[in-house]
Amino acid sequence: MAWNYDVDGYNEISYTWGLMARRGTGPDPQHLLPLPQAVFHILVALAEEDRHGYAIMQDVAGRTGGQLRLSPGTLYGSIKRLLEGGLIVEIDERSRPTEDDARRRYYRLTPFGRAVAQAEADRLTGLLRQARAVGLVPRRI
Amino acid sequence: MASTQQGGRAKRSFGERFYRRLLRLYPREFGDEYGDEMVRLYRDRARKDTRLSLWLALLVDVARTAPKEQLTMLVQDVPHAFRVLKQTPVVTAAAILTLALGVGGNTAVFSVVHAVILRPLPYPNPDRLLELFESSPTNVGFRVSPLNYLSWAERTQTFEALAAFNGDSINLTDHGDPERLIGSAITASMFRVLGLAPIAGRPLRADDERLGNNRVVLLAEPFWRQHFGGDPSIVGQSITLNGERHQVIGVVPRAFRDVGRTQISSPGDPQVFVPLMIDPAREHRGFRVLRVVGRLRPGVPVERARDEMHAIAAGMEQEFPASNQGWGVHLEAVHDSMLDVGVRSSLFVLLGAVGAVLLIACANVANLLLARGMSRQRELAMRAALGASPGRLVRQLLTESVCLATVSGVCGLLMSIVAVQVLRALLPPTLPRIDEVRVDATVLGFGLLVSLVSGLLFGVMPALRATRVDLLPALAQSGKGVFGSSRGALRQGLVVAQMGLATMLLVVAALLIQSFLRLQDVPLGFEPEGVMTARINLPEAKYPDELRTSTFYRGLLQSLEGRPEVQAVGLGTSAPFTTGVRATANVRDPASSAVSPDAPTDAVEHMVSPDYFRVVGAPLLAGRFFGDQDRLGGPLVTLVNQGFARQLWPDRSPIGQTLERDGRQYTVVGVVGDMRGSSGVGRRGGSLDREPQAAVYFAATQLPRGAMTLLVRVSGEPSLIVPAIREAVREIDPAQPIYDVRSLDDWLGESAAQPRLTTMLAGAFALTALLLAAVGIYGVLAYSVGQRTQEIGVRMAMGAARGQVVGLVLRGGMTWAGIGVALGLAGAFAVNRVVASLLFEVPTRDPVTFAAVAATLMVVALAACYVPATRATRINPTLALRSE
Repeated sequence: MAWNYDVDGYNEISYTWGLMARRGTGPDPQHLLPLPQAVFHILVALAEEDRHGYAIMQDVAGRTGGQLRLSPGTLYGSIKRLLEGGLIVEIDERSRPTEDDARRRYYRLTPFGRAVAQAEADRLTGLLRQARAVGLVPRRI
Repeated sequence: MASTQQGGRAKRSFGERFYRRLLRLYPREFGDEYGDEMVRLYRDRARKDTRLSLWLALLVDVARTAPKEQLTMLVQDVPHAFRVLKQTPVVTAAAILTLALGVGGNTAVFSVVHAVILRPLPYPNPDRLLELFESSPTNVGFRVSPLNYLSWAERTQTFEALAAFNGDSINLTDHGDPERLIGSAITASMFRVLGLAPIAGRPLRADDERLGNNRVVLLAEPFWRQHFGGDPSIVGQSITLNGERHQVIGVVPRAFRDVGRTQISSPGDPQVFVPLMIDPAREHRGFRVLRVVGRLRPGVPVERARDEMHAIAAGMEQEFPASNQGWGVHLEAVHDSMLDVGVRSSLFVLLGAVGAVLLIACANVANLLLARGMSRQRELAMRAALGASPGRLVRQLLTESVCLATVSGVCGLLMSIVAVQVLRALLPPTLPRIDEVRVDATVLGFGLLVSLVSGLLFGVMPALRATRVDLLPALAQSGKGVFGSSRGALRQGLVVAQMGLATMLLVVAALLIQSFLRLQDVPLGFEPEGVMTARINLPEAKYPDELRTSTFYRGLLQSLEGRPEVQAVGLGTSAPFTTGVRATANVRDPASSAVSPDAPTDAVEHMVSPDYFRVVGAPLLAGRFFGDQDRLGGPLVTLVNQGFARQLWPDRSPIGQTLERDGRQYTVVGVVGDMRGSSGVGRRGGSLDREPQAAVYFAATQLPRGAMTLLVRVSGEPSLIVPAIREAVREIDPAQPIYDVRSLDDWLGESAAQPRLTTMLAGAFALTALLLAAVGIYGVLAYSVGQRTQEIGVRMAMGAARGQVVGLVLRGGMTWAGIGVALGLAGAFAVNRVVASLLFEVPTRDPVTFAAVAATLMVVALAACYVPATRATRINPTLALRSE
C-alpha cells in the first residue's frame, strides 16, 4: 500500500487565499476551484464531524478504500493553508469531544469552508453529468 | 510479551527521534505548530505499517513538502519585507544608494581583475605553458638570444616543445596607401606549444623557417575578417608584405594574440604571423631579442623543469663564457609573464580598496537598520507577544535585508555596466585582454553574490539584536538606554570598524598619491616638450645594405632640417618611453681591470644620429656628441651615459677609453646624461619609476639600422609637423609607411597612465570611504543624542553648561572614532607590504603620512560629531522632562 502524494497545487491555493484575505475582497468560493485532491478530502472528512489530524487521515483512507493516505507533511501543510484561508478553524479544548484524546488538536469546518467544499462538489457533479451525457459513465451505478 | 513491548517502544522511540530530526527541515514555526501532531501521526502509522514502506513514504513526504513550506514562508515574507521597506523610504533609499555604489564599484573592479588576471588563457592545459627568460643578477626576466633558444630546445627533456617569437613591424603595400601591420615572427613549434590549430589553411611547418621557403604568412582571425571579409579563399593567394609577395597559408584563431603581444612592437594584437628564421651563421649568442614559451610534458612539475633548465644554463655558461657567463634561466607561468608586476598588484590593491568601501557601506546600512530596528521594537515585541518565534522574526528581518540587498545589487550591477565602460576607457590599452573586460555571467554572479553576502552581513546583527527584545519595557516604550547598553556598543563597534577601514584606505591612497607626485617630479634626463616622434621600419628586402638605409635616412633628415619650425631632427633605435629596439649591448673594455675582461655589461645599446641628444634634450657631460666626421668607414666612436661610465671606469675619465663590440674597437668620445625610459626591460623602455640603465650609444652612420625612431623638435605644437614628416617620407619612398606617430609628451603620459589610474581610483575609493564613515559616525551620534534627550535634559536642568553638554556628546563620538583610527593605523601598518611594490620613493611606513591621515580623519570625525553635539545643546529641558 502506498500513500498518495499527488496533491500539487496547494501552495498556489494558499497564496490566492492569502491575497484575497489581504485585499479584503469578500471570498468567493468559485475562485478557489478546482481544489487539490487532498484539500477536498480533508474538507469532506471535516464536513461530517470535528476531527484531529490522524482521524482525518483515517477517514480519507477509509472512504477511498486505502487509495489515498495523506502523509504528515501534506496533511499538515494543507491544514495550515486551510486555517490561513479561513476554511477551517482549530477548536478550543472546551468544545472538543470529551471521550477522545484531549491533547490532540481538533479542526472544524467554517461556513466558508463548507461553501467551498459544496462548490467543489457541484463542480465535480457537473463534470460527472457531462461525462454521463456523452456515455462515458453509466447512468446509474 | 513485556519484553517485546519494551523492545518495540525502544525501536519506536528511536524512529521517533529520527523523525523529529527530519522535521527540522521544515520552517521552525511550522515545526513548532504541527511537529507534535505529525509525530503523533507517525506513531499511529508506525503501529500498522511495515517499517520499510513507512520510512520510504515519510522520507518522500519530507523531501516534497519541507521545501514547499520553506518557500511558502519566503513568499509570505517577501511582500511584507517590501511593504516594510516602503514605510521608511528615506532610510531605504539611502541604504540602496550606499549599497549600490559598493556593489557597483566592486563588480566593476572585479570585471577587470577577472578579465585580466583570473580568466584562464584560451589554450588547452594553460597551466603547462611557461615563458622562459634569460636572467642575470641585474636583469631578471630578459629576452632570449636565438642561439640560446636553439640550444635549450635541443637539450630540454621536460618540455614537450619550445617556441620563440618576436614582434615584427610589417608594411602591407597591396592596395592604396602603404599600411603598417603589427606582425609577429613565430617558430613553427608555436602551434604545438599553444595547442591550437589554424581555423583555415595549414599551420607553419619546420621547413617554412628555411630561407627561400619563408615567404608565407598566417593571418590573425580579426584581421582576416576585417581586411578580407573572412573569405576563406584568401588562403593560397599572395599579399605583398615589405615589398615581397607572401603566400597566405592559413588563418590563426584570435587566441594567438596573447603570445603575439610583444614588448618591442607597439601595443596591440598582431595581425599577421610570419615564420621566425634563425640563421645560426649570422646570429650572435649575446644578442638577446626573442621571447620563448614552452609547453611542459604532461605530469612534469614546474620545479623539475626549473631544475633542468638551471642545469642546462649552467652547462652553457661553461660552454659559451663570452656571451653566457652570469646568465641563467628564469621560468614563469605564461599567465603571469603576460602581466607587468605592477598591474597585478595594483588591481588587487584596488579590489581590496573597493571591498573595504563595501564593508564600510555595509556598516552604514547596518547602522541604519539598527536604528530602524529600535524604532520597530514595539512592532517586533508585539509580534513576539502574539506568538511569533524568535526564529521567525530573525527570518523576517533577514528577508528584509536580502530584499534590500537584491534591489541594491540590481542597481549596483546597472551602475557597474556603466562603470566598466568608463574603466575600459581609462585603463591603459597596454593591459592584456583589456577588450575582454565586460560584465559577463561570472561577473554578474560575483555582483549578486556580493550583494547577498552584504545583505546577510549588514542584516544579521541588527536582526539578532532586534529580536533579543525585552518584552515588557519594549511594549511600555521606556527602553531608551542606548549608551552603555549592548546595542549601543554594537553601533559604536560599527563606528570603530568604519573609521578603521577608512583610515587604512586613506593611508594607502595617501601613499599612492605621494608616490605618484614624486613620479611626476622625477628627473627624466631629457626634455619631452615639443618633440614629435614617428617610427619607420625599412624592409630588409628593399633596403638590404647599409648604403641604401643610410641614404634613406640622410635624405629624410635633410628634408626636415630645412623647415623653419624645426629646431632639430634626430634618429635613434628608440626614444625614451617610446616603442623601439633596446638590445643589450655586447661590449667590453679590453683594458679594464674593474670588471673581468670577459664579463659583458648590462648596458643597452642605441644607434643614434648626431642630433639625437639635442632633440631629446639630454646634456653632454664630457667630450663631444657625434658629428659629421663620424662616417661609415671613419674611425669608430661611441658615447656612453654616466651610469655606464661609472660602472666601467669609476676612477678615471671615460674619454679616450676603448670598447670592444663584435670584435671591433670603438673609442669613447663623450659622456651624456642618464635618461629614464631607455632601459631594456619592460615595454617602452621601462616605467617611470625605473632607474636609468647603463647605456652605450653608437653612431647610426657607422652601425645603420633599418628600424628607427624619427624625433623632431619644433617650436610650437608638435602635431603640426606630422604632415611634413609624412610628405618627406613619401618623397623618398612612396611605399614606406610611418607609424606610432606621437609626441614624446604623449608617450610619457601613457607610461604614467597606470599609476595615475591606480592612484585616482584608490583616491576616489578612499574619499568615498571617508564620506561614508563620516555619515556613519554622524548617524550614530545623532541617533544617540535623540535617544538621550531626556538624560541631557536632566543634566541641563541640573545646571550643566552648553559646553559641558557638547563635550559629553563629542567625547562619546570621538573616543570611538579615535579607537577606530588607531586600529586603522595599525592595520595599515600591517598590510602596507602589499602596496610596497606600487610605491616610488615613498616609505610604506612614512610617519608623516600616517600622522596626516590620522589628523584628517579626526577632523572629519569631529565635524561629523559637532552637528549632533550642538543639537544636544538646543534640547529644551522642560520639554525633555515632560516627555517622560
